[in-house]
Amino acid sequence: MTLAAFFDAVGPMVRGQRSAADVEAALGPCPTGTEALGWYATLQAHHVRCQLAELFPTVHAAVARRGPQAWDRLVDAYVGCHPPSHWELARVGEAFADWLVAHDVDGARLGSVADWRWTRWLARTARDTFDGDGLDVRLFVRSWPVDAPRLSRALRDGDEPTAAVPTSVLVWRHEATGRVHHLTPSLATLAVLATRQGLALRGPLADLSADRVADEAARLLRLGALIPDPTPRPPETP
Amino acid sequence: MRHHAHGLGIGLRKPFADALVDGSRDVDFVEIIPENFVGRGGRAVATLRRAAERWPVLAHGVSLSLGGPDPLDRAYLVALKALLDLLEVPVYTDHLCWSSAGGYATHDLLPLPFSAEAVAHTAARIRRVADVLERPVAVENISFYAVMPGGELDEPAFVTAVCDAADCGLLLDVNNVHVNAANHGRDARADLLALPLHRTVQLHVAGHHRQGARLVDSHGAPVCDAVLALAAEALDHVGDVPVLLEWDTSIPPLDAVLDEADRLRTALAPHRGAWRASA
Repeated sequence: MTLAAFFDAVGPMVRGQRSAADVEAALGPCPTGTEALGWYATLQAHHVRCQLAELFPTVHAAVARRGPQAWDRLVDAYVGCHPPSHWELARVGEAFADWLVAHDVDGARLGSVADWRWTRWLARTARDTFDGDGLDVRLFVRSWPVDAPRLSRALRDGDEPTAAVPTSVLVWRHEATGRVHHLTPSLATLAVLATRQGLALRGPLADLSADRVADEAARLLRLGALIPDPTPRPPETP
Repeated sequence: MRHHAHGLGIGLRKPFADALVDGSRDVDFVEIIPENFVGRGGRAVATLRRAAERWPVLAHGVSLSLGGPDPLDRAYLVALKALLDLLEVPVYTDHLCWSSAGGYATHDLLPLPFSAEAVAHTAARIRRVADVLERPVAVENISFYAVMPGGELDEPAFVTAVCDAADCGLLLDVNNVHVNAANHGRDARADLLALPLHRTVQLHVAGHHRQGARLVDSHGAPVCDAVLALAAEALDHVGDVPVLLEWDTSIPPLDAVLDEADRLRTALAPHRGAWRASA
């Protein structure tokens, strides 16, 4: 048996795509028995289900209420479409929100909640780097068809989900404390972000007073959503 | 230059990392899983920096898939080296296993067939990793629940052959020796003594639990008497190497982890003259 033949046979078995008996037929008997060999597939499936449940606890809670095997089936289907390939364990959840939107009966709501969780993870772990576009890699802007933070709390607590209200949030990690915060952006907030990126203010943003925008910029700095811009750029010409 | 690790350390784990670093109780060193820090910023990295100001830091990876078929991720290794340089980690350790194949990252520590081909393949990759990281590499003897088809060696002979061919260190996981022996009907002490103990750079001890007929290497319980006795015997042979208490699941409050570390430090002190009996 070559090593290449070993991986060709055992790799799919670990992923649940081939039985241990099949592997033994190809490679020869497992000295410790078929059940022991096959246990690795059980372990692998368990690990992925646990990892996604840990990353997306409120989605897990909601799906688990559908039935005892509902979470396992959902994760197995997701992993079938998006097999983990990154050295970083959490990256297995990178496509989960989009996949839920496309594949789950409750995808619009659960996908939004998953994206909310994933955005918080991205903010929490982002590099301590200024990304040069006037903003910061710790800062994210997201829009969902539901109020994902509120829905997430409701799912966690087992409360009745709230009505679908399209919601945008600013999510950031405070530079000093490392804590993740969020707020609902006002027009002035959007104006500050646009100004930071050197974009011209158009439509209702252009109608805001300079003082209002300056006050909001100061507030965002106080909250740690923004850090002082080391490379201010001139605004683009409308 | 930091002091090298010695004595009894614990893993820097998220549930108690801040409390450990900010607290008054001491350990001799901490060990990190570098995959939790490479390419990241934020609070966890800030905590790690503070930990490194207080204690030596060791790094124990879980993703290199040293025996696997997929190419080594050079970009990751370069980023890993930067972290190890920053923390002045003297030796890099990972597992003697495979974890990725065909682009699928299992994030599990899977056994290789104990074959001569696997020895040569894995040893060559360990040497390449050591070259990129520009520091010695040591490999951990893993827990395994099945002996893979296609091998012609037993596990201690396989570990010895890989370490010899790679000229690398051994991270001796004593709990794994115990768990493997129990699961496969072998003599733990004989297996321990058959490992290349002269290459040992570090010991791991941990708890396990029983699941049906199996012992599972869960790192989720205090260290049992049999593992402690095996660790003491190992220290008698390998001398003054750092010992890490692994506690990664069912993690109790920090004080309970530190109490267990203190218990182990005291129990193992007679087996290494250079050790302090208490923190």
